Amino acid sequence: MIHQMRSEWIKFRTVRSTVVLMVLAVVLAVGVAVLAGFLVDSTMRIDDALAGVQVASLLILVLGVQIVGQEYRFATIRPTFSATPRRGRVILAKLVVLCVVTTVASVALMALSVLSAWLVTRFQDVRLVLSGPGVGRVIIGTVVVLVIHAILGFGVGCIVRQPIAGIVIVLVWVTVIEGILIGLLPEAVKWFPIAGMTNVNALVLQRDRGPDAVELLGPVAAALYSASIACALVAIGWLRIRTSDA
Amino acid sequence: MRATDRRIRNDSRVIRSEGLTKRFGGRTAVDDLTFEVRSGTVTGFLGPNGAGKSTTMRMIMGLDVPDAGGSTLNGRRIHDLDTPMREVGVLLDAGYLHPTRRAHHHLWALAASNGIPRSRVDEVLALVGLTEVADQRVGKFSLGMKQRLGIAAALLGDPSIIILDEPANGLDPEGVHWIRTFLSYLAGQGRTVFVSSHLLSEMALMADDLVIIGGGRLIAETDVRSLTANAGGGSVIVRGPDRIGLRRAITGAGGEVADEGDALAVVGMDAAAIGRVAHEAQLELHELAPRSTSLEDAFLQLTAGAQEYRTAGPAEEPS
Ligand SMILES: Nc1ncnc2c1ncn2[C@@H]1O[C@H](COP(=O)(O)OP(=O)(O)OP(=O)(O)O)[C@@H](O)[C@H]1O
Ligand SMILES: [Mg+2]
Repeated sequence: MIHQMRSEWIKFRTVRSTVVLMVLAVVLAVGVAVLAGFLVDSTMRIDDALAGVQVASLLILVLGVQIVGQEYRFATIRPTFSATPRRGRVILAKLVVLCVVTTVASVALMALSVLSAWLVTRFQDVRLVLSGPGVGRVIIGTVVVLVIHAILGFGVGCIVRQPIAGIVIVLVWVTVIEGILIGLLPEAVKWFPIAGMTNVNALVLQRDRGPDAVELLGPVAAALYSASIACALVAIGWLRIRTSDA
Repeated sequence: MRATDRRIRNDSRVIRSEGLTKRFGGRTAVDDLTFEVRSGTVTGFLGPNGAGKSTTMRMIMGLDVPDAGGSTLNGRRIHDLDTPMREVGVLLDAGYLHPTRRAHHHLWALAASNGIPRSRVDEVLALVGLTEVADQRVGKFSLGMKQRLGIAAALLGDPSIIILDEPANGLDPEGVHWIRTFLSYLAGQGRTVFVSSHLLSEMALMADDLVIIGGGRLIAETDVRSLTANAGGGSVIVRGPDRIGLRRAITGAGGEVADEGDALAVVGMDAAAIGRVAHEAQLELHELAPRSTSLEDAFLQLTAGAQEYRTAGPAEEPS
């Protein structure tokens, strides 16, 4: 397994698309943090500073699709599976590399976002408040949410085994399907794997979400719920990969 | 299991496929295919386009899942090999590359997966002459360069078995020449080379054994010499009233004789020599015809008649 993980890490960092995605994520996170610095009234709080990281989670979904989809697109999956015929090892190694990279990336993105927010607020008449109840949990929560995004994307990638289709599916899911369903059934938001999970940061911070705010799962429950869906997708994808021609 | 493994290894059959069958939709691409590749040989895997060569090779490598049957490499299923690159090197298609990845990174990743040190990557790059371009993205590579990279990848684990699918396909004459020379070099090191082609002429020069398939079925498992003989490469058709006498006279003079309908097919003697032998033995001749069938024609005949024609080896010698 350690061999496969090293191999997957080399593969991950030696194609342009993953590097581009990472750079885009930084640009997005920093950009939104800066923007938020201009938009907030007088105080900028942790979740304002991290708003860009939430947006960057879309790119992490894409990354999850890419890491397996690209191999099928360019048929490098054949040399990969010839070198490691036990496909489970390859899939697991990819998943581990993806989760580690996402964890490190989300910490880096948060650090860069907060740094940018701090720089912006210094030149604005805005206070940056990073302490407060639940801040630590927001930081951990953000890492967890991003990792779950990665696994969700990975699951879809394993099922579809085609990067373009996979990316379209996850993006349409997040923006259109969940969007429309939430409009139609606002109370059901907690059961949407992505919206349900990303809304819980607000809960963690115990922000006033307004009188008619819908009920959400608790942060841990929401994470567990979305993570189970992500794992189920990976399991379905794995069954497909295991039994099909490479 | 252990005992069987050992027997197979001692048997020096390094690739064995038994009853391999693969269907795509309703079509049977590979149909109950059984064959073996002997250790240390260059074995040509021949068949016309669509015969099922690539599908068979993918099944041997565990990529396509067979509908029936299975294969072993050095007596073991590929899924049981922890570091298969150390036993079998494979090049199915030179295009299996990520275009934005650099050549040496491609090899690093493969090497890492089998615990092969990076120094070996530099070695194989030098071996195929790609050292200069090792840090270029492979998307810019010509087909010839990709082919070399594919061969480098196959050699990473210093395997005793090498499987190549139509390695000369699409290459310019220089590339074809390079591949040929390189395959001879690999064979010269005692490696077992299993290489597919749809051109017999390509194989006739370098292969020892041949596995010929058509329509997914085995047509012949033979060697180049007997195929040449069977096919009439240099054979002469001899017909006369006293077949037994002719046969005795010709074999006595060193010719190899096989029955062909009511005539004899003779290998190893030309028409003049046969005529002289017949004359000396005072035997009457009705026909003495050097056969013009080329090796390629013979191959076409073989593969066209896939259904009726099934042989497991060289034609039997008359006693
Ligand atoms: N993935 C696939 N899906 C559907 N049909 C396939 C697939 N792969 C191969 N086939 C079909 O199976 C048959 C055998 O194909 P294969 O590529 O193995 O032949 P081949 O001997 O390698 O031919 P060629 O000399 O053209 O490379 C062909 O009819 C082909 O169309
Ligand atoms: Mg082929």
